[in-house]
Amino acid sequence: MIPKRLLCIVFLFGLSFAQGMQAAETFTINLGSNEDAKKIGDLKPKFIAYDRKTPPEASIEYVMKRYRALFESAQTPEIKIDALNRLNNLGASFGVKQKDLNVDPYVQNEVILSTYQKIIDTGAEYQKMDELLYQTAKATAFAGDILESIRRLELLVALYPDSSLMEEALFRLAENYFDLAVFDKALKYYQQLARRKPAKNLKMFTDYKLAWTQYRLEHDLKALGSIAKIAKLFPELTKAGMTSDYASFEFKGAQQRRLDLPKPSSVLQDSARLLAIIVDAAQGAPNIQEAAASIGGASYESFVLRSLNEHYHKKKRYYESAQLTEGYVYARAANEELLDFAGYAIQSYKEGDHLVDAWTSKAKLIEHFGLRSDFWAQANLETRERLLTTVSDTTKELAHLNFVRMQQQKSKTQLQIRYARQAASYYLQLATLWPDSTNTGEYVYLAAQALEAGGRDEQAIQMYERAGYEEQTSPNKKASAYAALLLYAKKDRALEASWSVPHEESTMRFLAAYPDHVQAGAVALRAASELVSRQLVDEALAILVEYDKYVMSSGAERYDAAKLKSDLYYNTRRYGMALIGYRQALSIQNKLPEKSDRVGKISELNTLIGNTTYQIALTEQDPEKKVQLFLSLEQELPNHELASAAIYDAASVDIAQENWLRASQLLEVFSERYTASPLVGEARAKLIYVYEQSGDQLGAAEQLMSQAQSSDDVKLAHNSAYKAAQHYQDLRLFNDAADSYRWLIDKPGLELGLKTEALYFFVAFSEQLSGVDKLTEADAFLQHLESEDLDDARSATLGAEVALVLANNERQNFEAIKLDLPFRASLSRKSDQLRRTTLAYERVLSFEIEEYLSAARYNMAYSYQTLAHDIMNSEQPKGLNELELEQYQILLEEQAIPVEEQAIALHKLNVTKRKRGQVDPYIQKSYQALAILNPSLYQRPIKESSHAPTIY
Amino acid sequence: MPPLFIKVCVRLVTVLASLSLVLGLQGCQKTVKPQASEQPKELVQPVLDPAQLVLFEQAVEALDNGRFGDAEKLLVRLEQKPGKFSGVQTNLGAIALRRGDAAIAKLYLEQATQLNPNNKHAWLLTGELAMLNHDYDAANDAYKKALVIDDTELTAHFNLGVINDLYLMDYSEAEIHYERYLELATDSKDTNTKQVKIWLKLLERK
Repeated sequence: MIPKRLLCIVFLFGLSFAQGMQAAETFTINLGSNEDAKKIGDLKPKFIAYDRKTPPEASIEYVMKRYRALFESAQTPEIKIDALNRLNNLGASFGVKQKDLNVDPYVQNEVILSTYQKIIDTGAEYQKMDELLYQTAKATAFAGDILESIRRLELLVALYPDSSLMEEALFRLAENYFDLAVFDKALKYYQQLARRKPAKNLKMFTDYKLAWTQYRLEHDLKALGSIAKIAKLFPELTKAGMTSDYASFEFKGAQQRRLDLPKPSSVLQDSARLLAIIVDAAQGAPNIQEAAASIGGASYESFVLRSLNEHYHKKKRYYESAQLTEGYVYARAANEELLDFAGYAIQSYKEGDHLVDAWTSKAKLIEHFGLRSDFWAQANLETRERLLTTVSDTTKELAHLNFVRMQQQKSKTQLQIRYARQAASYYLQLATLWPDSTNTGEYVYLAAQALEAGGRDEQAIQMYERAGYEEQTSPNKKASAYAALLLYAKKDRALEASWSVPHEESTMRFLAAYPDHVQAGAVALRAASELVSRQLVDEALAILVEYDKYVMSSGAERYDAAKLKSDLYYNTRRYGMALIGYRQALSIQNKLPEKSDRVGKISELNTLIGNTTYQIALTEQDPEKKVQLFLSLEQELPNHELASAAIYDAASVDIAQENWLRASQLLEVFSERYTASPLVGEARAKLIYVYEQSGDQLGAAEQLMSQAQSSDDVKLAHNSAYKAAQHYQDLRLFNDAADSYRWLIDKPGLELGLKTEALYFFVAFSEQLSGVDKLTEADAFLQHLESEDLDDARSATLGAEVALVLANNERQNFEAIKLDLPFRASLSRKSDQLRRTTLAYERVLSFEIEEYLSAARYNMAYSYQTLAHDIMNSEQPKGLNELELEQYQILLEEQAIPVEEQAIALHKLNVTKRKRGQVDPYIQKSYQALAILNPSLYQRPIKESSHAPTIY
Repeated sequence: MPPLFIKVCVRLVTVLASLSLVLGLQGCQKTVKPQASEQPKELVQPVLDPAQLVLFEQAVEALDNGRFGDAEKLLVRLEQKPGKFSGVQTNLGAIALRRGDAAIAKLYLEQATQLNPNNKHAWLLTGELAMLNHDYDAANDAYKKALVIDDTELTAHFNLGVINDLYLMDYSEAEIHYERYLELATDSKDTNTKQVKIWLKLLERK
């Protein structure tokens, strides 16, 4: 019966491994070594060969199901126990926890105990008594009867020292005593177990429990020795650093399979905890070096440190952890591992909310391990590469922190400066650590900002320029380049100096690189202004002519640029360009939003446009274009201060071109519109000239009179009135001329020549003037000449002429007197009148004007001739006889002949006074008179000539 | 000397000189001395069409007979043909003078003296026109020019004697012309010689 069941078990066991044999070509399964088997379940054939037959396909669950069925159906206690053992082994080995496949522990214990009792009751010798004791110990322990369990185990240990279950029994005994805090007995059994050299994992666990037991027994050094044994099982521990997972450490060695031992990593971890507890509990500060020495040497210092830190962290003693770590790290020459510890210290501060200390610790880290540390300087490239992230992250945090702190300072204090410089330093380190990073530019830019805040303007400028132009990936390169300019400006202002050369270069660089910067327009304007202040006008213009490329410039800036450009053109006499620029500026200004100064600016621009147009007109060579330019100014900007000058100048051009019509129109417009202009007087003078030149004498006369009446210049007024009178006179508007002369005559200070002319007018044109007596005027005229003693040529000529008028009048009076009876009386009257006539002609002669001399002489001669003739033809007395009449006639002849001789003498005088070449009608008349009075001598006709007989 | 005359002479001399030079150069071996600059003896006159001459002679005949209208028509026809002649202009001036149109007469006579300064008749009529205008000095000049051309011109001497005696009061000059007139006036029927002799006597008292 039993063999049959055994065969069944073997069969089932074979089935349980069939699962793993499917892929094997030989269908051979290595089930392990029979020598290692310690329980029934471990006894299995070495080989099960299925050379000819395909093994059955059975899952482990199927096998366990069959064992479960066997366990439940077996009547024999041994079979039941074996089935139970097999089930437990399979479940443990394959991790099958399925309830219907396993046996409930309570049922199991009950079965074990009842089976054990049955075996005892049978009184038969049971070959596996040690196993029974062991199993019942387990079962009683499971049932809560620890002491009974201990009794059975101690029985097993005592009765079966060679039992294969000895290690398990010792283990469970030690454990039970340890659980009961009976540490001396626990120590005893642990030590016994340890001496048996169990499997490595059990050995490690035993040492671990020994350590704890020794610790409980206050044998700290021994405990450390036990811990040292554990530590030696993990060679990686000395290089593990602070944070690596214990589970990742390789544990080499056989494992005790039947005992449910904790994982080696857990054992190690708790050993570390114990280590920390022991070291921490020692007097004074934890001495890592000593503890490490107890464990196995300096190579275990990091393990000790880690253990302590984990311990402190578990107890939330973060500050102590950090302090301990920092103290350890910074007391040593820097190395890669210490950097890791330094980071752990920072983390500890953080976890304990000791943030300030955390930042301080970061600063220490960078000081010792950062870019500027000796460590970094000596590190090779690989090391640097490994540590780069840690160092740069910390540097970045510090940079940002200091930067933020810098910004948080409301005023420029020493503290702010310190933060700023720190931030700058860290950012620059970052930039060096990541020379080609996308963030490098940003780091440099932030460094520049910090340097600026820290008062390091020179360096800040360099960094701004670097971030602005050299770091192409910088997101703030434009802002940075601009910031450099601002600093240059600040620097120059502080020195009260004009732009430095670097400032200028940087500005030009900025404008070339970033024309689309929002401040580019303003910068360009400032640059241009600066260049202008240094007389570099063309350089300034070079910027301004390309101002459109500063697309972000504001309307106001574009206006300023256009105006500045135009001003420069204007000042360098490039008026055409200036005008275009001013109009452009005006267009911009008109599009700008309404502002209080807009009207003023537009007004100023209009003034400039006017000035420029005026200058263009002045330089224009073509007369017509010149005029049109002047007129465009006047028409476009009639209120411009040069508008009047423009129209005046346009008229002047027309005058030069003898375009009288338009010139007069322009000057008339000028006179109407610009009555307050200082050019009014000159414009009127020009208008008079134009009228005169164009033949508009009436217009000229009117303007002249207007000028005479309005001018403060007395001389000009008098001359104007005189000229006006002359124009009226030419136009035969004698009454108007008379008005002008009358106005003139009464003026005080009148030049004698003008007065002479005015007075003469009334003589010469008395017939055309109503109410004017020619003789009265003539007399007045001569009195004027004589009273003023005027003997100039003009006065003499006019005097002779006027005197001749009076003389002729006297002569006419003389001729009008008839020699009637009584003859003597009438002769006397006529003689008297002849005398007056002669005197009057002598007055003419007194002026000694050639053209009047012959007339006067002739008329005097003719008067004598007339008297002689009148005497001879006078009325004869009545009642005379023929003889008396003849005698009377002889008497008359005696009277007449001397008079006639006088007449001949005067005629002869007249002809002898003739000048060579003089052709004078009065000379001719005198010759004619002489031919009559003395024909024998003067009646000599010339001989006529004949026509030409040949054609020549 | 009239300006036109001088101008023509200068031009002629220039042409001759140029021609001589050219001939000299062309002649090579021939030794031809260029003509020295000389006062031209004669003016370059337009070619006279015989028909024109006939017309002129007809006009002179009409003038001789006092038919001034016919003469004028003929002379105007001549004037409209190519080429101007001093004699034509002289006679047109004479007709205007007799008609009392002093301005037209002056115009024609000026043209006549310019066309041919050697036209004695033109100068005589110019002197007469000047006397009409009581321009005694101009008359004196004109008559003297006539005498330069023909020193035996009686009218000129007579009129110069009167002009210098009465109007210019250059008695010695008047005496010269009176005396020259008497020398030349051989016609016993000339009534003026008797008067001239009286005037010479009167001159002695001046």
